[in-house]
Amino acid sequence: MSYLSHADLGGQPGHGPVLPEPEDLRFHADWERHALALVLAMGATGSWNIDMSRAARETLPDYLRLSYYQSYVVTKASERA
Amino acid sequence: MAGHDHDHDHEHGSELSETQLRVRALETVLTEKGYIDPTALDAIIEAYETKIGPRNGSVVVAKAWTDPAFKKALLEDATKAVASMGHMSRVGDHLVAVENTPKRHNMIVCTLCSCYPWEVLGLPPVWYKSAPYRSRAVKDPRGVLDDFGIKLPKDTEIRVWDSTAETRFIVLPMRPAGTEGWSEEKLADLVTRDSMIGTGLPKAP
Repeated sequence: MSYLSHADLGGQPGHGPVLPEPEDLRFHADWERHALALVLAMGATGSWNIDMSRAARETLPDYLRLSYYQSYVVTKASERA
Repeated sequence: MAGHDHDHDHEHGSELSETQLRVRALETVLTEKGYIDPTALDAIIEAYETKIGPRNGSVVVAKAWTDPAFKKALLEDATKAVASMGHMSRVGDHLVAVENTPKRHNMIVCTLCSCYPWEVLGLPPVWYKSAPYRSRAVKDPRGVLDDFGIKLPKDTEIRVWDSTAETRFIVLPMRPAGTEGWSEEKLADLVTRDSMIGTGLPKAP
């Protein structure tokens, strides 16, 4: 089986300290708002299900280097209609 | 496929990063193909900035603190109890409430992804989705609490709940002392988002 997930992080050493942020900080750039909305809107079209989108994200070769919303965008760009 | 985004730590409003351009291009393509309506995107963004946030969870916690029957219902079936308060259930699956006591502190994580109870807490914070939190919460929860400036008594058991796409958790923190007779609304103001994730405690009255 060739499925390779980069997402199984539980217990892995070496990722450094957690960096808390103020609770009212929702987004770090305006494009993040749009990336979220695009993914939710497209999700509502039924083009994929949650397992498909998770698989698409967690198999990205640079999964760990991408920020969360970047992984949204890269995934959608690579599988777009 | 994956590009070479060197820019995610220094996005500035004044420059168009590769990621920004990619989002714009996607939005344009998907709009032209008729998949999405840009006004719907605005409505989604607005909902997540103003309506779907941790205040929903704070209200649930405050009600559990003041209404024993609701607390019992919440601990038995949080999906049902939360739905009875009229919250929209965006993820629509099982929600489990885990109760903090003087003996046991609960924390939630999603080691594999970013599963989180959106309908009561809104969007997950960046650190919740980050490798440091996901890797270490299950191995060294006390160390993680230290990163948040939280110190618990040595004999408090810490239980960590790993979320899935189907089952998500919310922590029911302990009601702060000195709040006897407070209204639900006033109590809700003490309930922080992090106290419902388990990486924080409610504010002191």
